Amino acid sequence: MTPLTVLGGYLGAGKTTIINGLLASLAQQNDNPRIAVLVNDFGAINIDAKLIRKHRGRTMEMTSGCVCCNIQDDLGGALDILRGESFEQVLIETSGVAYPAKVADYAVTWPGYRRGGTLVVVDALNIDRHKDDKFVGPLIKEQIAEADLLLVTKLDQLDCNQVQKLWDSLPKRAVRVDHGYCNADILLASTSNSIDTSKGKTANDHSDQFRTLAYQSDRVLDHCRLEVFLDELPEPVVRAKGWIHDSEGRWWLQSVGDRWTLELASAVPAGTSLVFIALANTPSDRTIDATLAGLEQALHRL
Amino acid sequence: MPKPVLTVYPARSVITMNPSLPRAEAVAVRGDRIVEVGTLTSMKPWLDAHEHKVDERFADDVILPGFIDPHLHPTMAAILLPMHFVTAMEWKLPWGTVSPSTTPEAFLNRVTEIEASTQDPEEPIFVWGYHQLWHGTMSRPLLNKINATRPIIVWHRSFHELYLNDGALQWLQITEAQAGNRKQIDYPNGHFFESGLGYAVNRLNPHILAPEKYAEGLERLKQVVHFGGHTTIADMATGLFNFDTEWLMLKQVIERDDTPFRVELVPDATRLRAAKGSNEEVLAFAKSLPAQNTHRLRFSDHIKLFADGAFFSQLAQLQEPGYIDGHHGEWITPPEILEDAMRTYWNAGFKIHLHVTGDLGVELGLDLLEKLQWERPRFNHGFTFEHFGFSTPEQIERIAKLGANVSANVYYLYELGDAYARRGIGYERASQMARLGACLANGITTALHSDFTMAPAEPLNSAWVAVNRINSQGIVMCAEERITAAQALAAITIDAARVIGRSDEIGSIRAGKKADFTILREDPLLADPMHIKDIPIVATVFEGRPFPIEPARS
Repeated sequence: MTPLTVLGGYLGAGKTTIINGLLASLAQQNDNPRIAVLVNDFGAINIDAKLIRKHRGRTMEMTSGCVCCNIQDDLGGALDILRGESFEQVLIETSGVAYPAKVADYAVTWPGYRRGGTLVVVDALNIDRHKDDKFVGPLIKEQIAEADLLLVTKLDQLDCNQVQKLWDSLPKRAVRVDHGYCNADILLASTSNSIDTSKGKTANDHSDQFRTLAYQSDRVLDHCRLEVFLDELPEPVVRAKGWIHDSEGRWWLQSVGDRWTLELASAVPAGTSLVFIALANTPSDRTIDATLAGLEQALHRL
Repeated sequence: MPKPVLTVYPARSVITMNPSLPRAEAVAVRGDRIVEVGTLTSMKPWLDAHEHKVDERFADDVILPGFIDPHLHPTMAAILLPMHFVTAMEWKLPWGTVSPSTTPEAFLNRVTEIEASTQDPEEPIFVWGYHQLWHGTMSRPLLNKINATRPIIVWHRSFHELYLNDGALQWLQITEAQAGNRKQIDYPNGHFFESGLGYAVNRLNPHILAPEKYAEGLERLKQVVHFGGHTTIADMATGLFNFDTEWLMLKQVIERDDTPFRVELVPDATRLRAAKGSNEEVLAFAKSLPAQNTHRLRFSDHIKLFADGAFFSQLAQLQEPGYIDGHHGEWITPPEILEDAMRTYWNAGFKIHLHVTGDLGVELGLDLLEKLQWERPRFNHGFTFEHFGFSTPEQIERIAKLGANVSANVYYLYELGDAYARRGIGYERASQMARLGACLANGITTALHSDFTMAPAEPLNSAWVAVNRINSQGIVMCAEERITAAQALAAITIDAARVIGRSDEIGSIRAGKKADFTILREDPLLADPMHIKDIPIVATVFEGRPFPIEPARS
């Protein structure tokens, strides 16, 4: 089953910029995952013409193997088109007035798909004004409430005090996104090809914003302890993904922000292989190293 | 070439809707036009000057201006009408009146009868009208008991969920491996809802949207429109599904000599923008459309936009205190995007028809209209609030001051008044939906529409609800917002013509207008208000040609 990740948030928050950034970064990699991005409007998608292989009807194929597909008010139809084409994952950019949870329901309704998480983009510059808006205030609060993880844009346009105030007001885990660049590991769900444990146990993202912990084991984990472990994932861990073999079976783990899910997996490699992505406060943040070390110890006790 | 002979129709009474001559005894017609209204004596100068004949066929009846439904969706109707109606409410259709099925047993018995009378064992049966409030639980096993092999598809009244039997699942190739164990698809019960509905609908679409089905549906729509006594309807969202297909089919099926009505076409700018890319391109396209007009099908300078969600789905956007259960409505168009679109058409001089269902939707429409009036004032701008479910008294005053019109689906009150009081927004606001008395008191041009199939395409039925404000439980809701029978007749004739920008040609009976009439057996202004919906419609006259109406079989 293909994981389906939802990227929501109000108009102007920066969803399309994030999609453009993702498509551009995937185009530069050789071993990129084949993903399909579903958008409401091709007009705003900004792809270098050299990177487009074919443009036909609702879909635009890229040289990287990824495709961009226009939803045209028929998300289900778009999912049907993609289902036969063995994409590793699907990322949906919702309309600005959509309730992301309703879109995420497709992941559990449409045959062939599974949940990849709900990310909601928050416009740091306009969030206060939007929240009080007579017409969209309730919608924007609901979008944030339905998110698993928040992606906060335009923070560079605020001063330190404003950033701190905003951060304190956010009701759930959040990741800073500058100039539309959001790490693909944060945006995308896990698939059997997308976890690269060869990078070593911990790796720094090139922006120094994240630390990554990889974990592999052939042991069969204890299911009860695993659930407790997931409930207590430390605050800086914004995404965890991979596959698990435990006392009750084999699972896909999808942990995005405040929510984790285990879904029964049939065709996954043996054992357990997980990646944890945690936010570092500063490039030289020492507390995050301690947090990850603690996380690794806890994993060995499962 | 000799001028055609004059035809004089004497009547028991002619209700003209022309305030300068409200009642008459006869109307004289030449070709497709009225030449004189009055008495046989007063029209003598015309009769002395021209060859004429007196046609007595309506001598015992009452002649009204041809009814106008200013908001109806031929395409949606074409999809629905080939289906079997099994409903909790009565539906009068040309091929028979659907008597209400108000219990689970009655519903299943009716489906069983339909199944038994369908000869071809492989022909799928589409049923529309199931509602749990009346019909209890529905399920695949219940439908299988009727017939497990023939496909049976049962649509909910709201169109937001459906049930399939074994035969239908097999026909649509929906297997347990795909659809078992998915959320919003209850496979054991064959129940598809919310996003799960889309899965079934995508597989049904090739069958229900097939050209021959669509043409059959439009043929049926023609009968329904005539049967309701209309001589004009407005397609208030041309392009709702696919502009080119709809336009082609309308030309093929409606633009024919046997069609006793005309259609005003109002392009769906929201859909068109998705296809064309920008408001400016849609505007250019909309401006190009009148060049393609035919005799019966006419585009002009009207355009359709959407604010908040569907009334039947409780997706209307509400001001405080919202819905009882705390859920929120939806915006079909984001407010900023709507503002850009409205400004484009406003500045181009178009008449904007805005779909609004909740009072927050009305508020958005009013705020934007006020802004545009400030930026670029317009008079007689024809901005119309469409549907008009919930509103506040203060909004009515603003609508009047900003010079906008209202086109209301008052049937909401009849079908949903009781249900929305109990399980929606509470009695106070539910009872005041379709606040029409206040609209008329404030001098707002107010029309009634069916948005068929959201309400029956029967103008007399809409008028009946507006005059009586009675709900499906037989209870009067908010008598203060009742309108008079004369106001209700204006709302389905001259005011409906104003709303669609055609009051110079149709909507009343006076010299010079099109000879469009609806002929009633009884006088609706003298009848018991509770009887208005049951007044028999004898015939219509479209552009001078009589088209009799056969009474429905029951």
